Amino acid sequence: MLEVLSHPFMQRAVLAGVACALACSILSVYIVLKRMAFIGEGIAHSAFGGVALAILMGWNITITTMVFAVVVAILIGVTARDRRISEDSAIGIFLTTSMALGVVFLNIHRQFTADIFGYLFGNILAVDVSNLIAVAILAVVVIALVAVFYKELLFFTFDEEMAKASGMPTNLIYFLLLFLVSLTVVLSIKMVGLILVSALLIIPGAAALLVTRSLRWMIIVAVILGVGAAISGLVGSYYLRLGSGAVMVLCLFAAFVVLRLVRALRRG
Amino acid sequence: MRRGIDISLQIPAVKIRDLSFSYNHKQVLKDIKLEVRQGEIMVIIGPNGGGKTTLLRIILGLLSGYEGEVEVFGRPARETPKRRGLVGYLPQHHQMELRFPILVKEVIGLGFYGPLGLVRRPGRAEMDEVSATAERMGISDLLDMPLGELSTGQQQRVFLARAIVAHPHMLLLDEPMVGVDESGQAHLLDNLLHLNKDEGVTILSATHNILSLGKLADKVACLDMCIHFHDIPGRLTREKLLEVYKCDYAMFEELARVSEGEE
Repeated sequence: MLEVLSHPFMQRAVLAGVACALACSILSVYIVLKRMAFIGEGIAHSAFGGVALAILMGWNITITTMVFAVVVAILIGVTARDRRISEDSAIGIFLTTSMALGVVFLNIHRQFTADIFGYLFGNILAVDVSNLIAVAILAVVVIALVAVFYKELLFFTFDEEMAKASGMPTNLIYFLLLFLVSLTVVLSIKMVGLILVSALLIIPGAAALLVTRSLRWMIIVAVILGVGAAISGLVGSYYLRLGSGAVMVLCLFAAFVVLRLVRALRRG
Repeated sequence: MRRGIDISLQIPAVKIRDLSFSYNHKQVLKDIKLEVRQGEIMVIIGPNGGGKTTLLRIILGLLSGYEGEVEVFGRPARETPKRRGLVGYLPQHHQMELRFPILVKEVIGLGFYGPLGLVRRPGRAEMDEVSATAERMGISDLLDMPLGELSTGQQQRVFLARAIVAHPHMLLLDEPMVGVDESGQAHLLDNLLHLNKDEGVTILSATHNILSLGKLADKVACLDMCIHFHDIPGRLTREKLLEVYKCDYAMFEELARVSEGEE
């Protein structure tokens, strides 16, 4: 067994990393297919406002950030669905405003907060048992909801207008997706950091799309890539003494490049 | 094998009175009056941007905020999505996400969403119906293929299969022949005629090219913000067409030849 896994903090980090990667990879499939990549980015960066608010008020960081991210996601969704303002504009507005609020909250706080770097870039040492339990529950919830609403999510991402005409509550499915993305982003921040977390919500799905012909296989390949990158990223970062989030994202990018080449070779 | 909804034959499939609709301060539809009886085939022709798709989307219950009354099988159009499986829809081809990793049988199976509702998945009976519909459309050998690898004509047949798999009372088609080659068009026309004559499905189709669908129609309506006329296809005249297609002479000449030749 790898020596690295004998440390309890690494065991926690790897288990939490796998759970996060499961949730992120499954959601990344829908994010990529529904062209919502920028929404993941928007929600992730908005979480900065939540982290700063929690630090300022001395509240529980995970819960505060989660509520903050869900509220921002709903605001982005409601504004984008209005149709007068395009989705990317809505995201741009709320992303920047949330980050500005975060800066203001930290300015008001006026104390040095080492914590904030951990949230920006990820810190595997910060993964405690309660985080591990939270991400494990999240992964189970994401898997269960995607299994239950598989048909709805397929129809919604493939042809939303037709789904609506068939009587599907498409707004409900859209906000369910945003809700799951918000929770996943917040719980993944500890490992990857909020600057890079959206990579986990985009690259696995995008890479899987290159080599698969059905949604089922796309989900399976995305999960294998995401979980593989999480484990190799965490272990690699330990040995190379590099940021875990950055190594994870670079592993994912390497997988993306390899699959792109595979696709190019297949097409001859 | 229609499910659920029992409708008296006396009720028109579509009844529209004084319908006006604006989008972003631009009038798209104005004072539309239109009635489609059950079992009829009506073709709506008109230039691109004339409001055909908007009219279909209103009938489907996808657009609200219009003035006037729109009834579908005796109930307001906004209720259409809730009356699951009542109306089948073939949207315009270019609106689809064709690189989506989805198999043909999955696409056709989505047609059961209405009758099945939330969470329930298609079972053995539904999948048998998917196979039977695919056979009728001549696409049985494509069922396990990804949609993106088919030709436009094949894809249109897949989408038509999705629209009819749950046996709707009415079929709405938006530019069904665009991008489909001649043999594919003939195949689609055969299928539509069979659905109408043998199963009594009401068909309402929008097209900017009447040549492809004109032979099929019991009635033709011309839509360019207003409904210009509303008649059987044999009585289409050069003047009436010129009025609608102000500059598309080549097509109108050809159509005039076709319709005059048949009179």
